[in-house]
Amino acid sequence: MREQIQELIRQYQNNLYAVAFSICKNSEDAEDVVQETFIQYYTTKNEFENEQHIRAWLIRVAINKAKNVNHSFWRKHKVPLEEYMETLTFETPESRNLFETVMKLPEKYRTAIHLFYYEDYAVKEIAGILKISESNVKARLSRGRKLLGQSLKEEWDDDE
Amino acid sequence: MTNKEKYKEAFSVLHASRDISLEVENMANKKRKYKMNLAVAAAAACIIIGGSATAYAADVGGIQKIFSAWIRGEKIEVSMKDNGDENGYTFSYNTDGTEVTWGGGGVSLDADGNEEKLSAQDIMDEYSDMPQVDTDDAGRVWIYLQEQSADITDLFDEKGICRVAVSHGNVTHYVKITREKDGSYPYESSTDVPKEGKELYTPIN
Repeated sequence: MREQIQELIRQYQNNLYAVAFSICKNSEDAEDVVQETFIQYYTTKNEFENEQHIRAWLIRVAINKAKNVNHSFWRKHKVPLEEYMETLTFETPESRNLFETVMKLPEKYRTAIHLFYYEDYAVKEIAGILKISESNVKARLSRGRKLLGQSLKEEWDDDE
Repeated sequence: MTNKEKYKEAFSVLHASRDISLEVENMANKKRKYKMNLAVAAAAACIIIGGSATAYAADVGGIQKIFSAWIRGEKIEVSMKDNGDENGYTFSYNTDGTEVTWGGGGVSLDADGNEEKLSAQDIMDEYSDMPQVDTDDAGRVWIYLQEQSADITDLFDEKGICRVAVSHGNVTHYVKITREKDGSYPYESSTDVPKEGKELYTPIN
């Protein structure tokens, strides 16, 4: 199946932006990643089984592209995260603290944490998207949660 | 609130500010060539990283290889050094005793968006098969496609734009060249029939 590109953009633009930002830590790079990801969907000949397949594919491509941006020698945009955060309006100081703490996690923990807590993916699905084993996902989630708990203390429940 | 709710609230501040919906289809048509015709990627990379690549060659060195390529209408032996960085090579050739050196490189994307470094052979092959625009010592503007060459100086309109269609074999390249105030002639080339109409493009054969 193939979805209309405009409909996909409407549905997933912000999700892809959030996952890309969580890796790039930069607004312009994240927006470039979102655009490139939709362009890749537009030009790919892949056939998709269902909407969930499309969503997972888009997220995987966005993650890979964002990683490529991070590892690129010729990285274009270098606006500091702190500067960008001044433009964001958080609901509460705790939200800001959580956001900041997540962004300080190592990239591999951050990505797994984001897919679990923001995208509601299960361990098995995260393993499929990141092309790593389920035990590896569990380890990354566990270490990420531990680091969040250590920094956020009572603001982060020990619920998973 | 659960951790998930807290997390979602915190990250709900992130919104793409750019309206990409209009950009994607336009870009996709251009990027289609990026994937199907590596020349676009290679040529763009040549322009972008040209300045810094030679410095890398001096520092890093690398294995030197010789390729045969069409440059400005002539078959020329081009030597290549792998810069050892992510995507770059340094190409050079000798013309009339002058060493011409430039940097180039590019990537292709697989189905999952992973980038793969193009080989130097890929880049030179595609560069060879692409139209090239350059000026001569008298300031005349020429277009080249493999062994073909044509003076297109008089084909620029009053806005400084020249549109030509050049063919090799069964492939026609639609090339739009712009005369910039600084004396440069940037150009776009595509094998897709242009949306503005191919009748605007003067055939060169």
